[in-house]
Amino acid sequence: MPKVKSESGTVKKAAAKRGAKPAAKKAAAKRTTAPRKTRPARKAAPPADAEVSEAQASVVASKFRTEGKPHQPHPLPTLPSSYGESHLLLLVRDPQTLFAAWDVSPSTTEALKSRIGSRGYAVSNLTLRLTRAGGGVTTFHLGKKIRSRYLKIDGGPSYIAEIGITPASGRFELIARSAPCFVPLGASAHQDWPGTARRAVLGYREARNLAQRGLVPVNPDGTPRQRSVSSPRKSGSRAAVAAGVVAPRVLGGASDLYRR
Amino acid sequence: MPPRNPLGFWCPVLHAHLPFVRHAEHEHFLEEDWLYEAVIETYLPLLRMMDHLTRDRVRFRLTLTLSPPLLAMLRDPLLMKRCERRIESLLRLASTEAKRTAVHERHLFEATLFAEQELAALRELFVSTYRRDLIAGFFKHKAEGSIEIITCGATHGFLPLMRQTPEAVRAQIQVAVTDFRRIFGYAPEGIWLPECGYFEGVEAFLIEAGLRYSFLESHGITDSTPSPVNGVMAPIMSTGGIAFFGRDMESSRQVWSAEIGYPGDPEYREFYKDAGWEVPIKELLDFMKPDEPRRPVGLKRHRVTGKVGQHQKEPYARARALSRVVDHAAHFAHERRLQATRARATMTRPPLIVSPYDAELFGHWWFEGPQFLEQVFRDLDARNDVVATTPPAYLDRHDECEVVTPEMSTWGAQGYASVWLNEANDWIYPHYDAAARRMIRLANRHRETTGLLNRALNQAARELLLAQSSDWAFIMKTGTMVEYASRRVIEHLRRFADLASAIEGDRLDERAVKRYEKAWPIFPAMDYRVFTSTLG
Repeated sequence: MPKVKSESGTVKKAAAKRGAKPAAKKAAAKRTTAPRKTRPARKAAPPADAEVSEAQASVVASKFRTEGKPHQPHPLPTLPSSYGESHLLLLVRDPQTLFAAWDVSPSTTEALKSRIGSRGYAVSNLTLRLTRAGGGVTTFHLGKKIRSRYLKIDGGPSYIAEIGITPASGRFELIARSAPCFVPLGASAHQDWPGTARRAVLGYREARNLAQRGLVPVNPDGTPRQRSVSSPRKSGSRAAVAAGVVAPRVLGGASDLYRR
Repeated sequence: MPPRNPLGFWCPVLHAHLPFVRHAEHEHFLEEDWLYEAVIETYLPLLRMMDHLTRDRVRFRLTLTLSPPLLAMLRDPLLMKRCERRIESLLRLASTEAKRTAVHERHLFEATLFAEQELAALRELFVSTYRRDLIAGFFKHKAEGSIEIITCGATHGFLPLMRQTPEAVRAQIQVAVTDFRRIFGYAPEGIWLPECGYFEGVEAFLIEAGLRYSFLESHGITDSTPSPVNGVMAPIMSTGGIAFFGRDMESSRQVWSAEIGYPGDPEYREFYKDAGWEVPIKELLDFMKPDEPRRPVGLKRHRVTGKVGQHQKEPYARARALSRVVDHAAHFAHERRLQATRARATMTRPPLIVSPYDAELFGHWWFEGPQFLEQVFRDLDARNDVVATTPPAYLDRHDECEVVTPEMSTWGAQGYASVWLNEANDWIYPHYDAAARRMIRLANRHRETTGLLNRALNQAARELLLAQSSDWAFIMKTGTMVEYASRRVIEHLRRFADLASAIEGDRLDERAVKRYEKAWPIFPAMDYRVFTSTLG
């Protein structure tokens, strides 16, 4: 297990240890606001073929066999436990799970202490707020030494997390906010798609030409894509690129080419 | 000539990748064996397969990913010299064993003799035919139009977990494409996303790098909005403007799985039973010191036999194994015909069956895999109903793709990111994230540089990319070689931090920069500006 060196110089187990028992931490977390459902939770059968993925993992692992490797006499080097800046990282693991990891800078801690007093800071809780797009906030109260945790979620499409502290006054003091996190919806993603809706087709050569001109093709229903919109479902993606307008060939409703 | 309107198409995709494992400072370094095993057991046999098919004028089409770290290692004179030495050591061991088994273990003699002949043939291929340049060998088949070579992430970084730092995603893709162009002299059109890891929006980076098609796990296609009418049997056009080909699970299952697929046949060569565990230690001195624990060396002479203990495995009989290869190849081709026939009934064009595999499955894991592939190509060419193809060739014939928005997906267990983000490896991500943001700040601050500062920034970018390889997280998860993977992540990030601190503090030491450059000679054309922020 890798180790990290804390600011004070004491050696602690790495973040892997801190995140090692999500189930136990889940019990410690307190949900103060029930999330409002915006779309039904996906009861997931694993999408990948379990037999194939298991076989695949064995094959890939076989590339990295090193039985009989003599024990490395040198201990593993360390990485810093903090990078001195307040930051919250939010990652999607699967449609039911997010992973949050955070760092709180000494200067942020000092600023908080000066604002709410050292005693107030000492008795405050570290608080993680998870906000789902369209409403619904889940709040987790955590120990100040915790630096990461897995978060169970109930569907998508997107979340933002905030880390802060909650002093005795009950007012949330923000430390850092994550970037938005987009959750796959799995099989339920396309369930909202009307069966009679138009479907678009686009030629590969045409798409290639559009791409060369910096244009993004069309929406699935054949409508032109709008500038600065990454998708009809998940607007606001940082990866959104300038989109162009193209007249697509649109096939309509139940009589379209594909349905014949 | 393929028929104008075939029953269907089959698109085999082999993803060849290893993390950059080069330890010049050690005469023998165990993890370098990963490369030597892959060269001897997979890449050379695959090239031989292609040569045989070309010689016999059998039409075959194959898409091959050669990841940038693998390309760097295959071009490295030191590693290729060591690889030759490895083949010779194995050949010596096989010769010694052939003499010994001729007298003392007669039941193993024939299998040992076959191993000796095989190794002699591979040495001839490696040294005389390809002159230690396998890339040229693959490129010859590309030039002949038989294979399509595509790229991958620069160091196989797992892109869905880099999404919060788009510049890091872009660097993985741009550096890979630049490296590919430097080596092959042309820009790749396709990319294998590391771990088949897709997230909505990755297309912007692919398009920016000139890439136009890629592959998705099957549920990435079927869970798209709207779900494509043809499922994975035809490529789709994502709303981001990239054509994606979806994995067919049926053909995957038959080949990947040792349990329910072909590789577990009792006649095939057993992967785990190795001479390294068994032969007198004095014969193994080329591979290990007498006081070191024993380990596999790559000389295998037994067959799977069945579900029996290792000591009950029977000797390998090549002729019987090859007979099973013919049966299995015929079965596989037949199944594709049936599959194409079923799909064709509901489609207005010939269906496309996309079968991606780890290249190292063929030969390394499944010894007879290259012969199987060769036989499948021969079978398909003879019948000429299901036609082997590549993505560009298919798109040339069937240009139109349904426009859909795919879902995040990977080809790992559960289909998302849990293989690369779990309790065994999650500690790496805050460090990756902090380092990536620091690299972006450095790139933004130093837009124009020369000399030592430029070299230091480029090396910092290399160290970050090397740390990001998805192999480290995978190894931590599977527990195969956790210490090495952890050490690699930590050491690359520490070197990155050293360089970043020196740049920020304006106290660069040329000797340190040079030492790092020498230790990890990869991406000679690296331009750290690829990390510069331009996305809003």
